[in-house]
Amino acid sequence: MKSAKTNPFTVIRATLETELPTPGILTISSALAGDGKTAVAAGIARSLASGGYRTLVLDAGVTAELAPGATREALTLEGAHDRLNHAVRATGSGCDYLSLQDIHADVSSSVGIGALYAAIRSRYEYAIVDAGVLNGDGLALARGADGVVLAVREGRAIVPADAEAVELLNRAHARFLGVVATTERMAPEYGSDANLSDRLKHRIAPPLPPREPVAVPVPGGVVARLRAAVQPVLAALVVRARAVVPARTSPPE
Amino acid sequence: MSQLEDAYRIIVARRVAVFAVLIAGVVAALIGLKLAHPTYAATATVLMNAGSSQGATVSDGGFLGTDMPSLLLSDTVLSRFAKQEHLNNPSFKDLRKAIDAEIMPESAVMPITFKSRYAKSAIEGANALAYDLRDYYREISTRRYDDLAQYLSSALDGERAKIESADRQIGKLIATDPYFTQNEAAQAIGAQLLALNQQRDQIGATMESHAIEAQLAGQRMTEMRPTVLGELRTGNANYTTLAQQVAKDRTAEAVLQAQYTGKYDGIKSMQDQIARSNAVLETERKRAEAEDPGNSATYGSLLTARDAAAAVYAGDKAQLAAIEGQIESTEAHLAKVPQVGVKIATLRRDRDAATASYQILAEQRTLTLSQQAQTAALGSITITDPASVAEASVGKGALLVPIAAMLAFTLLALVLPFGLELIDQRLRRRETIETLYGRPLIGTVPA
Repeated sequence: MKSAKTNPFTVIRATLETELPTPGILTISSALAGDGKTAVAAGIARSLASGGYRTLVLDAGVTAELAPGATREALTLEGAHDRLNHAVRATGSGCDYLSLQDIHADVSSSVGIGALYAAIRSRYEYAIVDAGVLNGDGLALARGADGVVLAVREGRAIVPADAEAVELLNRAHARFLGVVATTERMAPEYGSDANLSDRLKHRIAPPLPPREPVAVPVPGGVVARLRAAVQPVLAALVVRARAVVPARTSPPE
Repeated sequence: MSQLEDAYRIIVARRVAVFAVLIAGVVAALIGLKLAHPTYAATATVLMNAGSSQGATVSDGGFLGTDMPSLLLSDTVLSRFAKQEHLNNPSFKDLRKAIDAEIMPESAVMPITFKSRYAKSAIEGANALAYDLRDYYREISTRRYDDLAQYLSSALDGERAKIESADRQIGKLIATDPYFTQNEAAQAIGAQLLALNQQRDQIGATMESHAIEAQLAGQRMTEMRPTVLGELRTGNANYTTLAQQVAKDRTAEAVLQAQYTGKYDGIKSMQDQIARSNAVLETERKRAEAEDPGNSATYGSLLTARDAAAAVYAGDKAQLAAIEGQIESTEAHLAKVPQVGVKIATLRRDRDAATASYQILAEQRTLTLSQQAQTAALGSITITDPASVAEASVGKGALLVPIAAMLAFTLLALVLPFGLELIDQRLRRRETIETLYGRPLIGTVPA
């Protein structure tokens, strides 16, 4: 695999800036647990945040256990806005953090996820969803996102779950953008083996007030300016197209 | 470039295995070098004499000096060498590899080098090859003399056997017959008999000439009869007188015919008288020729000569008869001599004949051997410098093993990462991940 001398997330961010619409939601998942999806999600989020984008990290890796017989109400758009108003916390990395277990609502259905994603899109330019392995809720989170990136632990053996993950994404018509390889020797700045909030060096903070959309600073350079001018148009086209036909990305034969 | 980078990455990723294999190769090479057995080479030098030197032909063998290496590496020489060195199931191919022989340029010197794993074997082998080459070449050069000498030797053995057999038989006969001296008498009688035979042959030849002379004397008497008759007529007075008278009458007639014609009567009467005289003369001639021929001197001499020749012939016949009688009596005498003496004499004659043949054959054999020696000296091989020291060296083969081991391990070290990569089912390569997931690899964390 080609190595980069610079921060690898800078390269990944450049790719995502091209591939994702704005606002865009990216789901980070993996075929197996322990492939490094949390580290990838944290790294991408910090990189986007450092690039000046309003970025939210949605921690869906841990869900609260319900008591036997207890149910949750379905999440609506208003509810989603309300959760975002009260449950989002700031982190030391410049991006906001939201844990799915703090929502206290049913986000397992496509309706709930759609409401949550709609609320997020209205407030953030990018949202990174740490979705866990591709089964169950993870697949539902991936299906509603604007793109899916799978984390793969480099050096591990190939297992049937790899092919199954691709098959699941195809069946869910998720937009599979690519793969990020991770190694066991993660750099210290990407966090320890702790959870996502630790990796984002979050600090306990009160819920943030609602933010108004702000203009995204355009990086210097003719290409970047051109990209910044074209990207919103493309994003609008994509959103409109998705309204008619669900996004579908099939792996090349 | 990306392929090279991938190859580099694969090698770097497996660098531990690569270094391990390389170190193993170095260790194997060192062990191979340490265990490499040196090869010893010993050289014996031979000199080909004038007959077989470079560019010259051998008088009998027909070999050139340049043929000597081929002769050295021939199956015959190698077979003898293997037998001499007690090699079991020798490989001529390996032996030829171990032998190095080449004629030095513009020279009649040929060093013969033999290589072995042991110094003693190398020295013995080089010397054995030199001696085997010399002997084999000598055999080839003198082979035709060998055949002749062998034939003469067998012939000599035969003659010697005859002599010894005759000696044994003579000795046995002498031992069994105490009167063996009689054989001397038999020899004397035999000699006398031989002399008598010679004398008889001589007399026979003389007698034959005398018989011819007697025959010629008889023929001469027949041939001389007209002469004898003439002498008888001449010796008769009446015939002589009448003949004279007739001659006178013929003369008178001739005168008359010359003086007169034929009509003269005197001529006719004269012719009548002559006719009458001739008739009387003829009668008288017959009477004269019928007289005793002894009255003729010639006849007498012829008769004497014929009688003398007949007497000589008769004398020869008598002498021959006498000698034949002697021979007959001598043979009878000889027949009376005991048989053993004759047998001993026969054996001694046979022995003498065998001895003479033996001497002739011995001379021929001596001559043949001298010619063989001369031929061998003209076209021989001389060992001028036998091998005495073997030089040790680590041959190419010994160095080849460590080098080959090093190369093999190096190759293995280069190939091993790719082989491991092929059989490795882990997610290590970009292509593997992208193929598996069907999407591009957009990043690697960390780099």
